[in-house]
Amino acid sequence: MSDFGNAVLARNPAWSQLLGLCPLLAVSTSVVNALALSLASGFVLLGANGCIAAIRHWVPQFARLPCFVLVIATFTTCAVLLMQAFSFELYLRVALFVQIIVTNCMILGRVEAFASQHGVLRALADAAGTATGFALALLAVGAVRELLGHGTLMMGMEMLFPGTEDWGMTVSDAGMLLATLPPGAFIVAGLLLGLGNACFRAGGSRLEKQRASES
Amino acid sequence: MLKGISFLALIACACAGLLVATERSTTERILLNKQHYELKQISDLIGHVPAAPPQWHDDTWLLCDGTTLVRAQRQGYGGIIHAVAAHRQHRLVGIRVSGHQETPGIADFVVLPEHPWRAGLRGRSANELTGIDAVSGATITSRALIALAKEALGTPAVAKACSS
Repeated sequence: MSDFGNAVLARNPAWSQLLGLCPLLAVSTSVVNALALSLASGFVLLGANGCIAAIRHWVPQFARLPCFVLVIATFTTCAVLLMQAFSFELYLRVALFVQIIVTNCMILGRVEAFASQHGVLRALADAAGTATGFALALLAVGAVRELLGHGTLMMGMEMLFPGTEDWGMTVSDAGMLLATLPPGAFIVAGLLLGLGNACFRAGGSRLEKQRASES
Repeated sequence: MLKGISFLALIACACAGLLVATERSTTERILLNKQHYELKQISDLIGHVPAAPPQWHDDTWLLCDGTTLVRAQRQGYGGIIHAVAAHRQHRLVGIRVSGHQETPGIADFVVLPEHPWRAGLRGRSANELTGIDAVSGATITSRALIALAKEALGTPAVAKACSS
C-alpha cells in the first residue's frame, strides 16, 4: 500500500518528477481526452510493470533495456488496438499520443527503477500508483483547460462510457483561445505545479533536506 | 551470453504471440467501427441516415436529392487523411474526416462535429476555395482539407441511378 501512496504523492510522475510532460501538455485539452490517455497509460504501466517484475530474475543484464522496450511496445500496441475496438471516436482524437506512450520516460523509468528489482505485487501497486498520479495530473490540467478554453466540463464522455451524454456541462459560451493552444498548456501546467508545490511545501522541504544530506 | 540472447528471443516470441492474439480479436470490431463512423459522418453531412447498404461506385455515391458523396484521401501532416465530402450543383455541402493521423489537440478541428472553420467551406464552389486562412498551427492539415474539398468538387458521380 505504501508503494501505491508513494507513487501517487511523493513520486507523482508529473508533479514531482516532471516526467511524461509531452502527453500531459498535448492531450490535456479536455477532460475526456485526458481520461483516455490516462487509461491507456495506466494499462501499459500495469502490464509492463507486472510482466517485467515476473521475469526480472531471467532478464540478462546486457539486454535489459531492449527487453523492457519490447514489453512496453507490445502493451502499447495492444492499447492502440483495444482503443480502436472499443472507443473509436476518442481514438481518432488522441491516436498519436497513445502510440507514443512507448517512448514515455515515465513508464521505462518505473520499469527500470522499480519493477526490475521488486516482486510482482509491489510492482503492480507501484504501477497503479504511478498511473493514478499521472491521471490526477492529466485530469487537473484537462479540466482547467477545458473550462478556460471551451467553457465546458466533461464534454464528450459518452465516447468513453456510452449513455453518459448528460455528464457534460456548459459553464459559459465564451472560450479563451490561449488555453486550448500549447502555450496555454504550459501556463496552466506551470500554475498547477506551483500550486501543488505551495500546498505540499513541507514535503518539498523534506526532499531538499534529504538531497542536502545525501550530497 | 547465449542464454541471454535466447531469453530475449523467447520474450520477443511471447510479445509477438500477445500481439497476434489482440490483433485477431479486435480486427473485426475495428473494421465495423470504421464503417460505422464513416456512415455517421455521412448522416451528419446529408442530414439523414442513408439507405443501407452503401452504394459506392468508384468512391462516389449519388443520392436522390442530387447530392454526390465523394470519398477521397490525401497526405496530411502526420499521414493520410481520409475524408468524405458532399457536393450538390457544383457547391460543397460539407466535408467530414473519417480517418487521420494529425496531431491531437492542434488538429482537433478536423473531427469536431461542428467547427466554424469547416463550416466556412460550406456552399463554396471549386473556384471559391481560394484565399482561405489556415487554422493556426495546422497549416498543412488545413491546406489538405481544402485540396480534398476541391478534389471532391471535381469528381462527378459515376453511377447514373441514385439511392436515397
